[in-house]
Amino acid sequence: MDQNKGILKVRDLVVKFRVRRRELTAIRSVSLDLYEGETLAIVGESGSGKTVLTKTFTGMLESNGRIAAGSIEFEGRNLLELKTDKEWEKIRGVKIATVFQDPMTSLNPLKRIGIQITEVIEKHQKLPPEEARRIALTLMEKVGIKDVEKRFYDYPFQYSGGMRQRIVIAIALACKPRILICDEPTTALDVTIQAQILDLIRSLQRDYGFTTIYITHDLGVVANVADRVAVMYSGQIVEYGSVREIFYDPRHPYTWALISSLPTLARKGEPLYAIPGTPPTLFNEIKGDAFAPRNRYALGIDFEEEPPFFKVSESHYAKTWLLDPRAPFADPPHAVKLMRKKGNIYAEGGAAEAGK
Amino acid sequence: MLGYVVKRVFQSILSVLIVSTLTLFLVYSCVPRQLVFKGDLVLPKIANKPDEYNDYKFRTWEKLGYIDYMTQQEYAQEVFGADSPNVSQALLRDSSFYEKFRTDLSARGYKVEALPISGYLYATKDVALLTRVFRWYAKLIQIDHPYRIQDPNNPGLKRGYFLTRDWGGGLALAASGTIYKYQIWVDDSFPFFHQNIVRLNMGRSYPTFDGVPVLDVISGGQGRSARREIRTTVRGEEVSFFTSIDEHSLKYKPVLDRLDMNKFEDNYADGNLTTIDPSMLGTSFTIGMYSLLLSLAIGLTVGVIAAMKKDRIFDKITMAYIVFISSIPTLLYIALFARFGMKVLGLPDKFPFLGSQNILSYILPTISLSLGGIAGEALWIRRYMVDQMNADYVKFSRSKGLSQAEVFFKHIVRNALIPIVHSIPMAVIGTLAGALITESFYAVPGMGKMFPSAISDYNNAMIIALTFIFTVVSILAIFLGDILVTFVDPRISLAARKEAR
Amino acid sequence: MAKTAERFAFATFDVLESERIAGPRYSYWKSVFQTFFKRKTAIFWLALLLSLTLMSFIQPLVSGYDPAVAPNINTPSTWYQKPSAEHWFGTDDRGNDLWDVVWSGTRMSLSIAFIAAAINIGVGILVGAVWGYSKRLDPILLAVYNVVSNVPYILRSMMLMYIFGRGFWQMILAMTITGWLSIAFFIRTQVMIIRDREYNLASRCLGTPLKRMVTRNILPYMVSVIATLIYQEIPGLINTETILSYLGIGLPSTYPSLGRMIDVYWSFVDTYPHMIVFPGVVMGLVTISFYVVGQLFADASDPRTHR
Repeated sequence: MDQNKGILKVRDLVVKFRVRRRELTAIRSVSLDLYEGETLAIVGESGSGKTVLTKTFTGMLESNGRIAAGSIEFEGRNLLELKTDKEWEKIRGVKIATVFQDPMTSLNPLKRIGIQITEVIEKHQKLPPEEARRIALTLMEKVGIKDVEKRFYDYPFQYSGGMRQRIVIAIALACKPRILICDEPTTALDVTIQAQILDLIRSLQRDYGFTTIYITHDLGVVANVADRVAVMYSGQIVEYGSVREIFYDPRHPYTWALISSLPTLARKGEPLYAIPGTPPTLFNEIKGDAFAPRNRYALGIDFEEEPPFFKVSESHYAKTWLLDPRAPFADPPHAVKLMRKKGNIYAEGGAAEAGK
Repeated sequence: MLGYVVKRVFQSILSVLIVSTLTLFLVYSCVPRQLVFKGDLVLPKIANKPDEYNDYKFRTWEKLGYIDYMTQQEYAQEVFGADSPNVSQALLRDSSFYEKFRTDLSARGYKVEALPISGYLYATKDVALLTRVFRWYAKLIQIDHPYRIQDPNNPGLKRGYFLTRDWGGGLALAASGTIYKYQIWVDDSFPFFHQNIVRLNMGRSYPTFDGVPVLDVISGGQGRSARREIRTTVRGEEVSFFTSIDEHSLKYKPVLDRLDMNKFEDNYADGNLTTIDPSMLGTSFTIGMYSLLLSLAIGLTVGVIAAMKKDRIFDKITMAYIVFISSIPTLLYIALFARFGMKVLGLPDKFPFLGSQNILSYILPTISLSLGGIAGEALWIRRYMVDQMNADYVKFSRSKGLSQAEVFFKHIVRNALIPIVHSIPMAVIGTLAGALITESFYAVPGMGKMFPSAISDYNNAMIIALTFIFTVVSILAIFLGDILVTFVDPRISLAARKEAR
Repeated sequence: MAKTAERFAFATFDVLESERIAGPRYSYWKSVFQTFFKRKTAIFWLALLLSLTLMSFIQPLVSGYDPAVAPNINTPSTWYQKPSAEHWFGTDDRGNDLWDVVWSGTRMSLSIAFIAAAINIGVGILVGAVWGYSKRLDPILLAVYNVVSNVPYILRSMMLMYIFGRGFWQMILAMTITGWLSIAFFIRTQVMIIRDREYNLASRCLGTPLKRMVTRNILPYMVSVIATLIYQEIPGLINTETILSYLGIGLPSTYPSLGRMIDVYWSFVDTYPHMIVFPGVVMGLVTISFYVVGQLFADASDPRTHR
């Protein structure tokens, strides 16, 4: 992966929101590299800041949010220096496109499907309507819509949820963006449709060669699609690495907890694992490791000092004091050991593909 | 779609029937009948003549449908024939007819009494409430046809339809044997296509506009009569004369005088006068329509801008206006605005100052009437816009790279307008309600002013007719609103079409 | 380096600590009042509202003003006086002190509005709640509502005033006999929306008793809805009263009323503007303060605004 060149470089990003006269820090100094052509999955609980983080890439923060510090480098410039909407409009949909969670509400209910695709093409590529229509029809075919000539003139309510998500993807890809952000693209869909949509994105990625960021809390999806994984907790990335490293050799206790709560890894007769407690409120200054109060492996220092990133391998880093040489040995939970064992078997057998 | 329309038409007619029946029942049963004389000008003059006074009262009640009334003389004429000498015999003091009257009419359910001075007998019978309501409906719809006129003095009356030109030279379908000469015609006044075949009859006005059919009071012209020169041919001769007769209202006149003969070739010589001022209906319609358009145009524009500039100064001023208008009594802001219009703009604050011919008369009433509507439309469109701004499809449109303005005008406005289209009937009803006070305040001679006057005058027929008209307009507005929505919202129209299949 | 050793030892895991939700304890009514009184405008309008209401209910008791009695009618020197230290609002065309007239009129308008609003809202909420829950009642009441709502409210009130005759209770009857219907319809829709929200379905599945459902799940939402109703209803009814009285089909002339005042005094608007200005300003302030206080309270009582 290291031969890949970086396409997006996030450094020390801090995002704050004003909520009823109080300031909330949603992203607490996040740094992240995105490599050309890869699929990065960002996992974490609701409220961990996954969506806020990716919104900063397209300048789509809510009006009460602001970027307090940091930089986002894309195509040789710092996106945070873009001030006007006009400048952002050359990024959004053109270079970086987003697919939202709920296809049922992502499309304007009163506009014909076709128009919703062509309006982006006409705007960004400055093409005449006829040309835009032709491209839109090709796109619709590409995302697996049948009978496109007719369906071009249909309204969203005449489409099923899965079909609508296909259209949303078609719109997102209409201008051949370099980065596609998929914000939980399958959460609102039927399980059977989920796989189809994931496959569609993967095959389109092959054809168009864009880079994908998945935001999800579904580790199944992560294992299915991702090359690399970043785990977020309370507005920070706490661990990142290749998908194999995160699944087979996780190091952060929060990642352990996530993996332990996978139902497929539960032992028969034992209750399903759930992470105790609730995430801390982001209104207050967090001292030490944000996960400490919920962490069975918390050290004394976790309550006092924020851990730095410890390097596990060239591509794998984790932000936990457990990796400090001074830390005692922590025996990971059963599920994690199980995964490690699986990983070793695969590694010995030479099977490179990451799996569940 | 068709099935849906038919269903809605049926519902609308049913609603009108229910409301007017209820009104009829309430007015006839709850308002004491003695009160109808409050505005009568004749009664005080004959107060010292008890016989006449009694007779007048009962005749009026009979006219208004409260009672059936029969005098001794009328009964005698009925029994012996109108011109029989027996009639005067029957009225003599010791006639046996007194006894006959008593027994006959008592048998018919009448109450027989004697006049205080002359001692002549008269009989009255209350018309049952249900009968009264039934009679109102029975004569409500009048259909004109060539066999309508049966005049024994004119056995040779031609019967049938023919095409002709009216005085203005317009093409018209006329008829003979009908009540009205002109059956269908076209001209340049709204609604351009007119007819006399089916007419509604809602009784006659009393005590104001005494004897005139209420619908004529409402829809007939007002003010001075307008004379103009007419050139036409009568019995092959070119004639020209000055008249103020409205030829489209010409009715059959059994006995023609000389003047009529000079102007008309047939018996249709009895017409209403054309007047310089528009009818109550027309005046109210003009003011109501323009004020409705004004409230939609200004209200929606202001609301959209306020939503775009949410929480900024324009939005705050808009909200302050909305709170002001929605909270303080209508009367107060109309009065305030009237003062402003008069002192600052120099416009008349009473309609009759300049009259219906001067456009300045209409300005203050029209704007006053739209002040509430502007607030309402602005409030709702702003609310819907703000709701839409948080919708997912708006976020997605932004992430597609559309600009704020493009998202606003290409996506949000249309979505926010759908519920507004839904609310247009409410705006119509609001305008209707507002007209009641605005027209009274500015002394506009329209239906809105007529209603409170009719109430003060105990003009029952007028009250019922106006309630009927207001209800029909409201229901029509709701009906059209529902149909309109199916055109602007693809979700509804398609669902409706599917339903109809 | 005992310190280091301690820092790098496993800490004891405290379940309670991990479950601690950072937000403070939440009390609905406390939050309502906190949110409400946080705004200075709210306090201002509430103070104004209370003083105007108190004034209009107390002052007439002191002044004993009765429109049927005009003690100065034969003393022309007392007529048309401009505002002064003696007569704060001046005097009218019959030598009555306008200060007295205005407060009696306000009291009359407010009394009618209060009583009619209490009936409309009371009946409306009761019927609306049943309506929202009863599937059998729904089509019947809906049909009635559709027919009645076709006739504009003010027209209905005028019609009913005509039928009942002029008077205080007649007016309340005219305002309430159909007035509750639109409120009931509004409540019915609200009840239906709230009733079918997921958290209420969930709550029902978990066997929450109806009483608790009503007091804990539904009522907090309804408080805001009811506040909205009140703040729209009272100025609305004052409006109806003034219109009816102005048109001469409302209160008889023996009653003081804001609408009649405008009707009677309007002819003096050019010569003695104080006769219109003072009743107008009081009428405006009363209705605006009701509206604004109500609106702010409705905002404050919406749990979604609490934080």
